[in-house]
Amino acid sequence: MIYLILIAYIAIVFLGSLSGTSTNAKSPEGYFLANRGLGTLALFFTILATNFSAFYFLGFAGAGYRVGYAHYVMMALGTGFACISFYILGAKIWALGKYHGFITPAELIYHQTGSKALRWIFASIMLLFTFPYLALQIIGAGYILENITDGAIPYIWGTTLLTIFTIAYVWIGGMKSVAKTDLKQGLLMIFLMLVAVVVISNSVGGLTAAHEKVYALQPELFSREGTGNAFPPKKWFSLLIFWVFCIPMFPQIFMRFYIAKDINTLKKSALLYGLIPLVISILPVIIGVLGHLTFPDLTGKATDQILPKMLAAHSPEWFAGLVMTGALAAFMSTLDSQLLALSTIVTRDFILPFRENVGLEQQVFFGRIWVVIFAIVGLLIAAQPFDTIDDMGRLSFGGLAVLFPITFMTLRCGGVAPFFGVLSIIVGEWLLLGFYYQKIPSEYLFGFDRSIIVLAVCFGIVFLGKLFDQKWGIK
Amino acid sequence: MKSKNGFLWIILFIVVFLLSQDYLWINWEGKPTILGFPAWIGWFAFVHVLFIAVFYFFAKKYWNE
Repeated sequence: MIYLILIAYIAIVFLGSLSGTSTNAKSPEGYFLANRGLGTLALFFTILATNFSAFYFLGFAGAGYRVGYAHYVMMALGTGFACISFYILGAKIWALGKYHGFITPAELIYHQTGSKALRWIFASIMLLFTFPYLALQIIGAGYILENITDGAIPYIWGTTLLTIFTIAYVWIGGMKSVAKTDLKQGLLMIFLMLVAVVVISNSVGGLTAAHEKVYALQPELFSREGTGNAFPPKKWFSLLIFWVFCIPMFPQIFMRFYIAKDINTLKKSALLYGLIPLVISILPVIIGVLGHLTFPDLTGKATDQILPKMLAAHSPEWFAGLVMTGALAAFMSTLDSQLLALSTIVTRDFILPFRENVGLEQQVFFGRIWVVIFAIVGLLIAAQPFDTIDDMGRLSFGGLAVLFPITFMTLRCGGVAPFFGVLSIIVGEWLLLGFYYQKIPSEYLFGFDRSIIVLAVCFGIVFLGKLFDQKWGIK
Repeated sequence: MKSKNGFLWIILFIVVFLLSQDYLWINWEGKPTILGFPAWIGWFAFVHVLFIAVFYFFAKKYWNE
């Protein structure tokens, strides 16, 4: 039954996403940006589906299991606040992109600053720090397929299978097919998670009774600070503002600012994007919290599998298969966008500047080749996951957020000498990795989350650069 | 965006953000309430909706500038 559901789903999504895409896939604007013509619903769902990924399905459920409901509020409100950056950066990115025909984020930065060094370092950081997040989707697919087939499809085969499928529809259709797939997958994801919560909570005696049982076992899951004081005040403050700086710097989100049909489309999508996390973020967290009733002793990476485990334990086989298919949909809709964004960056920022005679169709061809290469790199990382889904995600997010200060300065504050932009990125990434790998003592964080301290330093550098520029004309 | 109005909007957003820093004035109990959820989730749902309302009016006024 599960195999039937999977095959039917793959066939429907694949065929559906291909219809009407061939005419769009011949030029870079068509292949990479769907001819900048997405309406509100398509844009909103492509942003939503791109952003809510394995990190949402498995990561939120795992964190709900480990930390409790505090994780829900931090993620829902934090990502809700991020719609401000749709205004601060998104509107400007859309306008400049439309006027100048930019396709990648670094093209815009280069145009505004005139610095090739800044362009390349900006593009390189986007590539490098998207990989852990890209690998997460493949890891998630592997976990899910292994779980729902009871080990019949081993982890490594599951990751390979889903990667090949994603490569196939990105290769053929580009952004238009990605956006069409995201719309269907986004709707499917929300609906199935809602039903999963109802089915699981009914199976454990109803939501209220189940919560009371969990509260008796683990009251800390219901505490405002989370289990083990996971969110003390300074960390809470850090994580609530962090997403404002991080989300627009995902290359796949940054490029979605270019593809809105008009400015009103972007505005409406921003509002929806701010509101929806309030509803959907709680669903996997509920399942994670209720997981203590059935699987009380999970630790470390095993907690990331609480969602498939709960489904297998509390719902019929066909329903578990259906929900996990929804989860696979979420992983693929993030993976496809990331592959497309990264291949666009390599083609436009690293190949075109050296081979100006590359034709439009050749650019699309190069983009497709890089989709395959990056998918293989992601697969190799997924073969040896180096941390929990939550931690791998946060390293990726922190690395990308370092790009915010120079982007903000460039778009909203009249620019800054490129040297300071490059310096802010290098120092920011060095600090981030230093804190992540514990080479820099955590006392220097003063209780705040590492990403916020890193961002504060980066903002300090670019503002200092602005000051030098204004006072002494140092460029 | 005119600077005086812009300043007022910034203040408004800061106030909403401060409402999310609830530890400054309240120490919540985690006891299950409606549907078994802790009461403080309701507070944050309110802050979230308030933020969206403020953002809606802000966007309506300034987004096209």
